[in-house]
Amino acid sequence: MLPAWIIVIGVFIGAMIWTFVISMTNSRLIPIYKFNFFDQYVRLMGNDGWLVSVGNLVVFGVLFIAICLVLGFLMAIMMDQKIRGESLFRTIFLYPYAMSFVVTGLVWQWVLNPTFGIQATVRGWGFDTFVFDWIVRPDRAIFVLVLAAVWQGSGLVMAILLAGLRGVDEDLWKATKVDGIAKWRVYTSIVLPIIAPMAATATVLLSVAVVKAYDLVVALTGGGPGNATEVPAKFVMENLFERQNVALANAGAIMMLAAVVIVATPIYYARRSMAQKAAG
Amino acid sequence: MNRIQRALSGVAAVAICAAMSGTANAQPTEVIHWWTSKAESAGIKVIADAFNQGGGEWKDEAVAGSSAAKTAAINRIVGGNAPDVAQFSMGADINNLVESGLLANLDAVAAAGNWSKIVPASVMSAISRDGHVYAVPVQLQATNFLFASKAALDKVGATMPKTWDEFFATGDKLRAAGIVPYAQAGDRDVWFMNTFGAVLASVGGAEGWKQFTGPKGAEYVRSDAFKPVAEILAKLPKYADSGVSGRQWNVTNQMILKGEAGFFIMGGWAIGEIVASGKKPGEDVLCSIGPNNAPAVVNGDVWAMPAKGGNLTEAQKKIAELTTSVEVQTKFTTAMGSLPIRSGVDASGYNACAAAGASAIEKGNSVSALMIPFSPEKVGAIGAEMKVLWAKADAKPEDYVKALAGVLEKY
Repeated sequence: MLPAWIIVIGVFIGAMIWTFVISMTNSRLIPIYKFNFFDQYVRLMGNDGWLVSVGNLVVFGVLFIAICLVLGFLMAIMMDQKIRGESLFRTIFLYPYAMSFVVTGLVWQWVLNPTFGIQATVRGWGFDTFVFDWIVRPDRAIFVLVLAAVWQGSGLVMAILLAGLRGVDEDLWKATKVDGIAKWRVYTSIVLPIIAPMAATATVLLSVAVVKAYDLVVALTGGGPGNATEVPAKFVMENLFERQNVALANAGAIMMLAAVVIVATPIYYARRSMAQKAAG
Repeated sequence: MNRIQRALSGVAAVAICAAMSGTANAQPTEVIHWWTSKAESAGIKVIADAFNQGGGEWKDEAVAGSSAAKTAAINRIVGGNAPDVAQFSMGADINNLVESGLLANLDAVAAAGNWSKIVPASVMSAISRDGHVYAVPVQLQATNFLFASKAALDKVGATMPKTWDEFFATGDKLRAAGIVPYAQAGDRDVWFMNTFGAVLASVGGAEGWKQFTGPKGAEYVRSDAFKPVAEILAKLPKYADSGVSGRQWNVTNQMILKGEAGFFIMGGWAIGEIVASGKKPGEDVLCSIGPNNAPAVVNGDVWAMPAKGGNLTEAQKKIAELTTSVEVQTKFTTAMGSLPIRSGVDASGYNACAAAGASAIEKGNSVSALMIPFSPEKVGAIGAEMKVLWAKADAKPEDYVKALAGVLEKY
């Protein structure tokens, strides 16, 4: 285990500490160790770009995680009905997750672009008043982002929850059948609590994906229209590589890390206590 | 930190020397740059060939994408394993490297090559810090070309506009004919900044530009002189189509090539794309610098030469001399479709659009693009504000004034 520990401490924790140290300086293009402590964090909190991107992320995150969990659960239940061609469906549902968003995001962008995508095509068929321009509407573009992210992420949730469903004891089903309980009741009141740790795992994975959301935004909307789909990760990348603002970018990165910790820690403990309860 | 870094790089240098002893003379010259497209590779090959013919050994380290290439170069410079030459954008890009004493002083090469006479003054100031030269100018680009589709203009019986009023009048006709009057690229903030620069240069002229970039920029933005600029900025989005957001510049350029759109504001790099599509600049695609022969808004690229043991190495000196020579500049800029950084370059090989840019610079009718006097942070903030206002359907001229004055005061 020693090499593993060296990697964990040296690479992961070391990089984290370094990021934090740099966020305490006024480094611009290259690291310069002149400390001004929490100045960058104060600047970050007063930066409209950052505040807008955090607000966007909250909307995106809540919708994305909720829809993914519901949709993934429904798909998993569907797959659990011993349907024909299950492995084919599984592959199809999981396929988006295996694809890079840089590639598919670009295709999505073209499909949704009103001047040559769906809108233009349908209008070409003679429906002149057809409008589907969410991607260029500042008040709707965030939903396009959710749509594309759900398309990618729900397959993963399905796979995780399906594994959970397969672990449910067959006898349970027989017992509920004898008692004459409706199937949907069994799923919501009996099965769901049993696979709750699985759902918690899926939620953590989705939350991390939300905080990290970058490639999707860059490929799909470029943060636009205006700043309607700007996200913290993009803010960090921009300040790191384009605006020569390394310290501010690292302060943003630390804030993102804090967000992940705040979201993941309660889920982690809830999961552990659930596991203990199940075991005891 | 500096001392630690020097100590570290010293150790690294000793280690490398120890490893290389015996073959010390055969060290290749590493050049990091981001010129990877077809025309660009042809351009960089001109310099590489000239260097190799002079007995050097050019080691090409192309990294796709400017920010990735800059990051690669910075990481290696800071890490003590600096390349011999690295490409950067002209202007504030190199400030931090110069301040930290990481770049070699090029005063001797500049004096020997008589740069102060042959290189435009604005370029000289962009590569100098405190009176010392720290970068080799490689090429210039005019960023404010107004391109127009000849086919689209013919359809409505219009010619290239000479004023913004004519521009908008032609725009109305184009729209009536079912053509998008104005195409705007929208995937990056910088395209909105670029369009803003074009409008400012054409309305405010060199004088307005000087005031905007000067210490009293915010005052100028709030003055009456700036009003027409803000009015055009507020009017322009209404002449564009709805597909701007997220659209790459080359896709937008296609709209002009296909005659789907009338006008397009973009830098000289679009000319290469026009030629590559088999269209002729100046005939199929018309071009002018702003609608009213505005000053060319010029940016460019430079070689930064990381300091190696205090002095400029022979190889670095050689590349600096070659890059700024008439011969290499002529061949290089013709291949790249860009503009030379010095006088005396034969422009006969240039296409009509590039020639227009070259003559504007030659006549002194040019200003330095915003990324030269402004920090990347400030330029980025301007682009972000312009992008937000573009997407706001009811944005008024006053909103532009407020946003721009805000950025100038804050950064």
